[in-house]
Amino acid sequence: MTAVLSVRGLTTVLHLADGPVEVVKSVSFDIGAGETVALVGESGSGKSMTMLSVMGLHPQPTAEIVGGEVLLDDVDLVGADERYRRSVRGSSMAMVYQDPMTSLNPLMRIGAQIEEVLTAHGTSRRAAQARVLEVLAEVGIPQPARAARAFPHEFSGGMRQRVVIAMAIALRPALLIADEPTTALDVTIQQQIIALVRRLQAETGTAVMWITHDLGVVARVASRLLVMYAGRLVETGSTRAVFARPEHPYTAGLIAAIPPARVAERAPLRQIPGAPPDAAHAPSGCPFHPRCPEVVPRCREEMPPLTQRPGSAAACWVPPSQWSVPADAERGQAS
Amino acid sequence: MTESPILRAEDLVKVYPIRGTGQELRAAAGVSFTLDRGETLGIVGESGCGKSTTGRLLVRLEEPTSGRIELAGEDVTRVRGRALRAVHRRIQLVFQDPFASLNPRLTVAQTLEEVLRVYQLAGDKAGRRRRVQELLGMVGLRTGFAERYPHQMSGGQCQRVGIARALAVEPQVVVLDEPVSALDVSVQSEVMNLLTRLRDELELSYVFISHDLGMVRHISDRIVVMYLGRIVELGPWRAVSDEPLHPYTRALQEAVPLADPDLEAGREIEPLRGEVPDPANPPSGCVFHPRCPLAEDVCRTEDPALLELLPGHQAACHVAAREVARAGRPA
Ligand SMILES: Nc1ncnc2c1ncn2[C@@H]1O[C@H](COP(=O)(O)OP(=O)(O)OP(=O)(O)O)[C@@H](O)[C@H]1O
Ligand SMILES: Nc1ncnc2c1ncn2[C@@H]1O[C@H](COP(=O)(O)OP(=O)(O)OP(=O)(O)O)[C@@H](O)[C@H]1O
Ligand code: SF4
Ligand code: SF4
Ligand SMILES: [Mg+2]
Ligand SMILES: [Mg+2]
Repeated sequence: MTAVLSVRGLTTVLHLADGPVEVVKSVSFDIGAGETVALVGESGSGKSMTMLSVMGLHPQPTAEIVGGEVLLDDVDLVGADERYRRSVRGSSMAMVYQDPMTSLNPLMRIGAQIEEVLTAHGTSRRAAQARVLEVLAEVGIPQPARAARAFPHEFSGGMRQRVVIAMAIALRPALLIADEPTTALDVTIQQQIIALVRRLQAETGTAVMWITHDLGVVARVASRLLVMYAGRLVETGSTRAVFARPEHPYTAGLIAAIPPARVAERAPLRQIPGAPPDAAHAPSGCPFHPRCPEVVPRCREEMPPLTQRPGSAAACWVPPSQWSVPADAERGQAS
Repeated sequence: MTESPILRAEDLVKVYPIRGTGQELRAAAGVSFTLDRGETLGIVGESGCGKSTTGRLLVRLEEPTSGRIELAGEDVTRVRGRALRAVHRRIQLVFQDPFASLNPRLTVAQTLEEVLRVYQLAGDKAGRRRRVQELLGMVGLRTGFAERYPHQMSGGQCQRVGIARALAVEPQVVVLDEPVSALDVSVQSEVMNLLTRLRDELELSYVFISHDLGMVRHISDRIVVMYLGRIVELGPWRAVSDEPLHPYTRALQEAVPLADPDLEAGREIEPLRGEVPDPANPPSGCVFHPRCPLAEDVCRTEDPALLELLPGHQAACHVAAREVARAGRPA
């Protein structure tokens, strides 16, 4: 599979009042054409900062990329000038945020906002106007002509998110980055957005990076997942393989913490003691060590490397065969 | 069982005026259920369906427009003053937002002591101190937390304090309004386990409110499903979550992921069309009909009654009622 995006050793620091802190720590991954990859992690783990850095939209000058490469069509965006970065934003990769109002201007009609994205990348006005109606229909907005004349506040949260997705796919980017696009929405509307993104993907072949803290969403949308903890990737692999045999104790804990569906016996849920650190205050050594049931002395001093295996990788000193809490412990039995 | 339910809601209605329009909104439109002693009743539904309103009515933070609330057989619908305080000793509410529900200027000990003082519990100052330590122990917080302020604690720790505050008065019933929704995934399971343990140890009865059918399924004995201020389904936890009768519950069930990605990968998702209608202008007939994949002509004109279609299992749906009568199960 050819990669639409290759990220290598991406490192981003935040310059805060009490000094610089790394919030994205040497993150590397590829996204293949048409693939759906989930970036999973808890609040503050660095998911948004990673993908904002990829887009070149990290809050500057507070945030600064201090290392690594972001290769899009073999061009390193980190080294490229801002004009080039702007030209690929929207056309090659586009981002959708949790709060649709981040991307929408409340004072501008929806059609004009989408049109602006198109004309900024060289589409003629006539062609842009036609494309606006087409793309609003594609994302399932009824009466596109009327919707184009409306302002954002005239829409519900779910419909606004559709508008933002329309804006993001208007130029048919090779990669769509969706940062928790359903978190603020009702469950039935979440399902609509998931179904929409799946359909768009089947129709257009867009690759999707889905950022979420919800493993349920991951199981539903992604063929591959990247698990992030305190600014680092700690496990990667195919969704099926990781759910069936997680190789990092954190991933194993997260999976086992979800109440299992359709089981007759309800056992206590697996707990992970403590709370996730924010990337700015990550513990020494393996950042998971204060919460890990498998911790060994080495974990406190040395950061385990993300060890590559065919199709998967995990950053842990202790292999699953030696864990005291097996990955499937305490799961209810399916009836 | 001959023992009366600890809590009974009878046809609860709460009407709010909509500012500046002269219109009204029925946030609860006739809600009836019972809660047995030691039982956990889950309430699930989407945003705006009336879950929190129902919760606030149950603990009498608000008075219903009409209907009746009984606590251990006693009518508490309109009690005021000292009688209301006595009600609050027996039924307590835990809020969704653990930070916002704590006073930022009070330490954990001060928050808990305040409750004990107001309700004149645990004797003198020394007695209150002891009780605070006991409460912290119950919710699994080290004694050192007594001197912390909310901003010095994580979300999960704040939620434990919220639970301790509710338990301070030794209530019989606790209404939990989305108690884990605001917490990190890895912290949710800890609070869920704590709630289960406390219920069993203290013989509490819970009303557990959530938009997440997976969580509701995990903790409930029976489940209530709400839509636009109404109960559309009510029954034993397995029946409602795994073999729902109402098409809306089925849509919620589809949103619960299967932990097995092999099963999940092969699963077709057919999301409901449309959105929840404006509660100030509910649709005619069955309020779910504009979104229902099974809607028939009768659904547009006749509001289906909530009927017991299977033993202990009620649903408000014309089609489900017909199918169960015909085939013994939903279509
Ligand atoms: N503008 C900012 N100024 C200072 N710190 C920030 C800023 N944005 C993010 N951070 C910090 O950077 C780290 C990574 O944050 P990031 O937003 O990437 O997390 P996330 O994984 O997206 O979390 P969430 O699930 O809450 O969105 C956190 O420690 C956060 O507190
Ligand atoms: N004090 C109030 N005044 C006017 N309308 C209200 C008031 N409280 C709630 N409502 C309305 O009543 C309806 C039910 O609200 P409620 O908060 O009970 O829903 P909910 O099921 O708890 O939703 P959520 O999942 O968003 O918490 C909503 O339409 C809401 O806007
Ligand atoms: S390296 Fe050690 S602390 Fe980190 S996850 Fe593995 S066993 Fe746990
Ligand atoms: S009564 Fe009709 S519209 Fe309502 S849920 Fe049943 S089938 Fe659907
Ligand atoms: Mg984020
Ligand atoms: Mg609520």
